[in-house]
Order: sequence, then C-alpha cells, then structure tokens
Amino acid sequence: MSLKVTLRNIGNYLDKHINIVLIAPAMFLLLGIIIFPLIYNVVISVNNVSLYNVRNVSEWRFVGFQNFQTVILDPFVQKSFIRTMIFAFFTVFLQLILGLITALAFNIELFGKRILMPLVLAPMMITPVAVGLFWRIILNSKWGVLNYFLSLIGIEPQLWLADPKIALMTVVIVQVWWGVSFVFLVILGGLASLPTEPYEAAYIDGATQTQAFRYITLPLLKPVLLIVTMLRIIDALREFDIIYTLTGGGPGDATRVFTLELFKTAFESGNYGIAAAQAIILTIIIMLLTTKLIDGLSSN
Amino acid sequence: MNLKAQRTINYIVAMVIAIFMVIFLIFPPFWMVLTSFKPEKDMFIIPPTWFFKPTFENYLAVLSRPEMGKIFLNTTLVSIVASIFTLIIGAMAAYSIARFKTGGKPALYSTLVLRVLPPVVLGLPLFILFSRLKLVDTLSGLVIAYVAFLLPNTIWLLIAFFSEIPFEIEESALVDGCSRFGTFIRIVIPLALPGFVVTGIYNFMGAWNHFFFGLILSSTNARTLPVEASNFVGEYSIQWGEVSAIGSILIILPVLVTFVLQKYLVKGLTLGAVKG
Repeated sequence: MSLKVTLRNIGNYLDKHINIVLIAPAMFLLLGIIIFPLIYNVVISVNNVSLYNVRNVSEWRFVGFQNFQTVILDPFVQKSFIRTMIFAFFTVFLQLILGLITALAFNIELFGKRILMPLVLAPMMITPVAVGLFWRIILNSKWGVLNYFLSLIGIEPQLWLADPKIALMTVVIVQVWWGVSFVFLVILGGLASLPTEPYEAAYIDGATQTQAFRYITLPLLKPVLLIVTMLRIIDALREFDIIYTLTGGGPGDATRVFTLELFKTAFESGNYGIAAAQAIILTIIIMLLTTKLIDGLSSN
Repeated sequence: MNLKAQRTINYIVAMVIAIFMVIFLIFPPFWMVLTSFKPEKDMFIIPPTWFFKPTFENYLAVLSRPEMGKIFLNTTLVSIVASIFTLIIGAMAAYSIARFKTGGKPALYSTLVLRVLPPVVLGLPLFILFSRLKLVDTLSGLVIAYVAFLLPNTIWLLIAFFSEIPFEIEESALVDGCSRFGTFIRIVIPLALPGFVVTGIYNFMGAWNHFFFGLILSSTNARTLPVEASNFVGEYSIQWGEVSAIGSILIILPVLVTFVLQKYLVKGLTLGAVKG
C-alpha cells in the first residue's frame, strides 16, 4: 500500500516536472555525442596528436596554439580558404538567381504544374554521392554527353574536371544543380504569402510589371531572400560529399575547398592536432554566420 | 500593351523557363539511368545512342560483388534504427521546448547551431574517440554518429509542428483530469502524427544519403551504400557501366519518396528552413 503511494507520489512529481523529464534524454545525448566531442576537439587542437600517438594519450604533448599558427600560416590552407570563398559566392549567387526566376515562373498557374513540381524538387532529395557519379558520366571529356551537345553548336570539347582552370567552376555548376531546388521552394513559399492589395493599387496607378517587381515584390521578399542566402552560405561552407565524389579536390588542388583540406590533413596525412585546429576555425566561422541567421529569423 | 496580351506573354515566358529548368534538373539523373541499361559497346560512342537493346548486365555485375547484401543491410539497419531512436528522443525534447519553453531562446538557438555543424568538424573527434573505444567500423558506432547529426534537425522540425497544435485542446484534457504525460501521449502525439511522418521520412532519407561518417568511421564490416558507391570511381580502371548502375540503385529510394510524399516533404522542408 505504502509502495503504491510512494510510486504515485513519484509519478506525480515527474508529471509536474514533465518539461525537464522530456528534455533530459536529448540533453544527455547531445552533451555526450556532440558537445563532448567538440570540447575534445579543442583538447586535440592544443596537443601534438598524430597518427603515431593517437592511441597513446600519455605521449600527447601540450603545444599551446602552435597548431593554429601552423594552420593560419600554411599557404595551402590559405589557398583552400580563398577557393571556399569563391565556391560559396558563385554557388549561392547562381542558386538565388535561378531559384528566383524559377519561383516566379511557377507562381503562375502553369499547365501540368503538378507533374513539373516534383521534377523540379527531386534533386534536393537525391544522394549527394550519386550526384557526383552521374555528373562524372555527363562531364567525361572523351565520351561525355555534355561535350557532345556543345560540339553540335561548335564549342570545343572541354576537360571539365581535369583542367585546373575550369574545374572549380564545374564543381560550382554541379553544386547549383543540386541546391537550386531548395532555394526555389523557399522563395515560392515566400511569393505565395505575399499580399495582393499593393499590386492592385500599383496597377491602378499605372505601374509596369518591372516596377511592381522592383518596388513591391523584392522589398516584401527581402526577409525570405536573406534567410535562404544565409542558409545557403552555411551549406556551401559545409559542402564535402559532391566535391569529394566529383574530383576528390583535384586536379592538383584546384577544387580542394576547406572541408576537403581538413579531411586530407586528418585522414590522409594523419595530422590530427592540426586538423582539429582547422575544424575549430571552421566551427567559429559557421557559428558567427549562424548568429547572423538567428538575427534574421528573430527580426522576422 | 493591353492586359490580356501581357498575361499571354507572361505565361509563355514562364512555361519556357519551367521547361528549361525541368530539363536541366532531370536530364543528368535520367542519363545515368539510361546509361545503366546500355550494353558495353553502346556506352562510349559519339554521338551517344538513345535507343539500344537494354541489358541488366551492369546491375548483375554490381549486385554480384562481394558483400553487397551486407552493405544493403548495414545501410538499411543503421538508417532505420538511428531515425526511429532520434524521432522518439527528439519528439520529447521538441514538445518540452515548444510547450513549456524549456531552456528558453538559448535552447532553441543552440539546436540551430548544432544543426548547421559540418560533419567534418564532428567527424574528427568522433573518429579519435571511437578508435579509443573500439567503435570504429561497428554498426553501433555508426548509429551513434548518425543520431548526432539527425537529432538537432529532428528537434528543430518537430518544434515547428508542435507549435501548430492549439494549446486549448491540451488544456481541456488537463481540466478533465488527464496527467500532463497522459496529455502528451494521448492528445498531442496523435495530433502531431503528420509531423512525425514527415520528420521520420526526412531523417531516414538523411541517414540513407549520408556519406561522411560512413567514409571515416567504417571500412569493411560496417560499410554503407554511399561509401561503396564512391569506391566505384576510386578504382584504378573505372567500370562506368557499374558506376551508373550503383548510382541508379542509390537514387531509387529518394526519387520514389519525392514523388509519393511530395506535399508532406515540402511542408517539412519549408517549416524547418524558415520558421523561427
């Protein structure tokens, strides 16, 4: 009897504090498998951890900020950083332009829209590794279908993935192919929620379509455009799978962006301490961008 | 120019853009699938062949590779276990944050920060921890890593779904003497079921498509399908027929899901992306 009462009391107590009870498992999990590894990353970054001593903690030696210094002064890292900026700028810019144009087109009641929509949305669900694979088939310089199509309009065949001068731009195009669907979807959602009154008033006053777009659509769409831009910049900095499958960072180091540089430092060269320092730098950059994103979200 | 002519021009321009985009977006995977059915002799000729006698030899070659069954099983198992586990833990946390404002804005924002963390950043410490705990190349190690990247996103998506359920329904259950936990199980979860379906599918697809953790945390025993597929182009002489076949196998599931559950996925993606 008393046991029953005790159990009921415990039950009532837990029910009263249900907010803590429900969030606790996730908290512990996130602490254990994300926060703790991140802190551990900091530990690795200030020690001389490499392939040779990784399993033997007693041989780790504290080196202070030496790894960070190595990273910042490394010309290869600097180059990969610039490459990442170029990659991010062009992928985000092209995704926005294409996404906006496509969303404007789909905002009209088109014939067969129900069939066209999933076709436009499909890329964003497709496995990034598969994206790398089929673009390699299309871009192949000897028998690829893209060079064949271009030859029909008199353009010389290109070494899309093997020419260091154009490889980065090729990777940008493939990334845009994969990413434009999401941008399209978000902007289409933004367009659907625009009020109709300002347009009616503007057209009565004799405004042209271009003016309506410039002075009504764009300003009203600005918050959505800002958020999707921030999300896409963060995604561009995170990108790994597609580039790894397409070029592996090559030819030479022509497409080796920061994430691939980090991968190479850690898992090909085994310089874990230095790679951890790179990871922390990347984390800080992404966190700063996310703070900006949060500002955008909360002002909305 | 009168209004009707303007409308017609708009319609034509929009249709041209729509068709152009559909071709740009659909042609690459379509061409891979077409290539996967080509016999060897039709694969490398210019101009490319559009009509040929289809063959299954590429698929047979892929499926008869050693350990292919195990790799399929690994990928399916890890994806299912990780996404169901994440859904349960994530739903509890999301409800707590959405209804009781547990942790306030910091909880909300740290979820977002963890959600955008690059896998490369988390991969390195996990790899070193796992090699010390002997979890490298095990399925349980992979499940842990997958949960780490699925959980923040799950919480983020489900907060949006829970916020849409009107509080009055819960209040009336509480007034009728239902416990808070009972309310969560009997009232809230059934109402949020569409959100669970969306998030569950989204998680499963994320796990199925995921590459990086498989790449660094598995080698032979726990290899996943995307990692195996990427090995096809890492070999010295690339078998392009087999590459196109494994690529096609890899995208069957995502493409099917996009078509069948289009509406729900659109809702999930946009909710997760723009709702603050």
